[in-house]
Amino acid sequence: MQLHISTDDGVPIYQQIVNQVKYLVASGRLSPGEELPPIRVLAERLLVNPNTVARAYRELETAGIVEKRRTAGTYVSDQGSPLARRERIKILTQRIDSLLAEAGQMDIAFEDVVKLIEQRHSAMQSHRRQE
Amino acid sequence: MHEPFPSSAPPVVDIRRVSRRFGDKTALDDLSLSVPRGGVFGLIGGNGAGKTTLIKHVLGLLKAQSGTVAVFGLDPVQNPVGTLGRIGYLSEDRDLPNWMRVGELMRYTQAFFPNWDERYAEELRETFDLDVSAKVKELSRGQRARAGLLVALAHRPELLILDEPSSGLDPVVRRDILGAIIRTIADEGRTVLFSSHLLDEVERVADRVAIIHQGRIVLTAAMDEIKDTHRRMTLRFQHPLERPPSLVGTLSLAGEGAEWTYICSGESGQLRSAAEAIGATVVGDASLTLDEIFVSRINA
Amino acid sequence: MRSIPQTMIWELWRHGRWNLIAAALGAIAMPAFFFAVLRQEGVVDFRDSSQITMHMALLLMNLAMFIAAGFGAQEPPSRFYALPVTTASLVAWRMFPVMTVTALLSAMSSAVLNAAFGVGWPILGPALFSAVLVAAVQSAIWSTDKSGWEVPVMALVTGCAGVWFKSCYGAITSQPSFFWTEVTTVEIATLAAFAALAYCVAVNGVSRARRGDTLPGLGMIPWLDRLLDPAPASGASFRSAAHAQSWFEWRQKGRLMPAITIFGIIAGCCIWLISSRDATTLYEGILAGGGLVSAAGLLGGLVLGNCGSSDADLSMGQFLATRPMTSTEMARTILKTGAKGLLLAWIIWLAALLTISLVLRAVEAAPRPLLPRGIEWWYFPASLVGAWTMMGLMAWVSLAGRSKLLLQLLAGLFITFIAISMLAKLALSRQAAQQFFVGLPVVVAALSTIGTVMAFVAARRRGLVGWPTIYVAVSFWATLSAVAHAADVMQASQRPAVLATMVGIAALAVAPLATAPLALAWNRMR
Repeated sequence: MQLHISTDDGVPIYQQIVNQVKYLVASGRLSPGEELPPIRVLAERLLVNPNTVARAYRELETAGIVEKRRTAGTYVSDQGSPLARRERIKILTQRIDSLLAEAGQMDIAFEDVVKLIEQRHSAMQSHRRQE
Repeated sequence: MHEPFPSSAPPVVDIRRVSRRFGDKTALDDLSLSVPRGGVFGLIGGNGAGKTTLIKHVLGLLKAQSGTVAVFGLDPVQNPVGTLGRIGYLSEDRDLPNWMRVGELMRYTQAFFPNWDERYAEELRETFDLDVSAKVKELSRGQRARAGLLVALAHRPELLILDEPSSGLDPVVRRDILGAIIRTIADEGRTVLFSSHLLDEVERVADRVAIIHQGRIVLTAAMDEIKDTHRRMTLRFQHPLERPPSLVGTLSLAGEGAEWTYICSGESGQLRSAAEAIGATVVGDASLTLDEIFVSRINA
Repeated sequence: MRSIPQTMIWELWRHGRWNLIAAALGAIAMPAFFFAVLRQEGVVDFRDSSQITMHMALLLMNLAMFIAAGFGAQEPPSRFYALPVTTASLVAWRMFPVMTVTALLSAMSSAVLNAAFGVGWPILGPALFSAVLVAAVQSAIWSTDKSGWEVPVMALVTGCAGVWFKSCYGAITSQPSFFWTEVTTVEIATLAAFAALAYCVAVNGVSRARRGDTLPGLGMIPWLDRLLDPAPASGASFRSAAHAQSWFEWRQKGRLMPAITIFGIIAGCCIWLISSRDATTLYEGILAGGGLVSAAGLLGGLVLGNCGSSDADLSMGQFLATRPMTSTEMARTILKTGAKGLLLAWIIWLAALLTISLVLRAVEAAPRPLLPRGIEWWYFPASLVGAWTMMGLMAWVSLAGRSKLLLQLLAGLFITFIAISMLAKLALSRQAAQQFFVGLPVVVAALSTIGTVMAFVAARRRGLVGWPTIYVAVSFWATLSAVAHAADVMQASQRPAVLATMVGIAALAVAPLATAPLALAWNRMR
């Protein structure tokens, strides 16, 4: 699990961990049932306080992205759970908001944006069929 | 460890109303500080703010001219064995005897600390790549720091004190030091107290931070709390203003015309409502790095 | 500043004017004191050949003062390495001003003494000699900086200089016979040649240091390194913290005193071989070496008490200060190390004495008395006790860790002593002066006894010494005083004074048991 922590822009470290894990899960780089590193190991690897990692894991658990199992360890939870799906939708919503804002600034009409989305979708599908 | 401290145990270091003068210069001014057991406590301040003086009081190298100092509940000046025997200390100038070899240094230090773990010491020595028969004066600066860190860690001290541990060291050694800090507090009940002016490192590992300026404590709080209660708000007013109104808790102000950036202490929600109350729209709301918080606190 | 020479000369003045002025005053004051004393004793003609040795000794002392002042006035040339100045020019302008100043100071002090006391000291010769000696010492130090060769090279240079100096006063191997009033052309040529040699060596040495090449240090010769500093047996761990600390102190500082004694004995034998080969002189010299052990104790104590992380700074370094060990324990370890080193030095001296007396007995037909007249059995334990007292005194004084204060104290004491002695000698009548000089040690002894008692009280109050230590101290003091009483030293009329002095010295010998922990605690916790 590759995470990158930076203290440059002031975002709290636990927040950075949470965001990055969410992204990894949503993009499929962390599969359901995969184990996350133990708190202590991750803390040493990233050179951050273990309490910070613990807080991040707690937030991820509350959001339903991960679950703690009794014996040991924290695991990525099933994608099908409604909480996980809600998280994924939230990420996409943020992306769409940025897209719409940029389109507005570039003075491109909403209908053109929708048309563009359809074009790109069919292009990707034909590309996949060719493979 | 999964609970953010403070635990109910008595504080490891309890400094009450200590003042210290050197000639005319006041180094510490009626300063009180309490370091809870467990966790990493970061002491930050500029050069000459009083960090090293404070640490020397904790070690018993300076007698409090007024006020009291208690370490593990004992007075370090009266009881050097009971306090120093449970402390691992890495000084800023890495004062080690030049003529000693690394192996001799390890055996010599072992005799003072009954909790010395030989296997762990050997493991550290190999990790740090220190040659047993090398003399201390032949070691490079980074190797000296590692040697000092080794003898401070190998007896698994209850309190690890690091005074400017990263000063003058390359990033590789700095990583070793940060790693050592984290591994230390991973064990229950052990505490780390370190002073630094490399604030990005403090931000990574500290649970609790105290800001010292001109011998006084400006701020003591948990790291999370500090980050949550300092924000940079960019407000847009309806008309350009010469001097914008200040919000409660403003530490500094910059900008021009109708758009002004405030650095303030307070929670995000409160600040937003306060901004709306004076008729401005919040255009930006960002968190601050510890560096920026420190600078604005000192200059305020 | 317009030019390099100007800057260097300005720096010499600015940085070193107090040093040089103090050296000049000292060079006039000390001989003046001696001459005043001698005049009181009735010596009239200072040009007599019996006064030559004293003149030479005084002159050499003055020279040493000037050289020390000159060094103190200048920083080492390494500060200039990165500046745009050639090595030749750098060395020249660091050497020549100091040479000139030294020559001038020497000439001036001799002239003043001549005018005041009519002693007839030569002016030109010693002035030139002092200039060249300064250059030689500078080039020796700059060439061997940080390589370990400093001590042998300095010994060689000063040895040769001393021998040449002696040759100006008479044949090398016999007593000096005339004053160096005429400076022959041969001597001037020799001096000029030496000065040139010193300059070349210095330029070579400084340019080597500037490049970063070092001399093959003594440490790099593997066998010598192994001899001087053996790697310890691996796996041997220390029994206790005190054991580890004793090892530390011995390794770092304790070997100094035996080393000084050995060196002193060897140096003494060499000097004896050069100056006179009379067996009696050798024997008496070695016997007087008991004083050498005291000198070793003095120096050893100074070093032993230095807990600082660097030589100049006496305040305790953090490595030692954060040892989980009480101050009493630490002080005790230091004193134990000192005792061990001193005992070793004393045994070495005794061994040398014994060897030489046996050899002489074997060689000579007529038996000689074992001990010269006036010295009896008590000389041997007295030398040990005296050395311990000196060492203990210097140890706790330097343990206190205030180097500035220490220097001021020493300077103040020295000046006070000289001033009082001069006053007494010159102002009081002969009878009164005699009584004064008898009474002075008694007063000092009384003060030291009172001081010792106060130190023990203070240490007890701070919990630094326990009752057993106090009992040991008191019993030692009583024993020493009793032994001093038993030794039949002086005539009955002076008995009480001498006894009081002995009691005072015994108190001083015992004092370190309390003052060392006090001083160390004062240093460690500020």
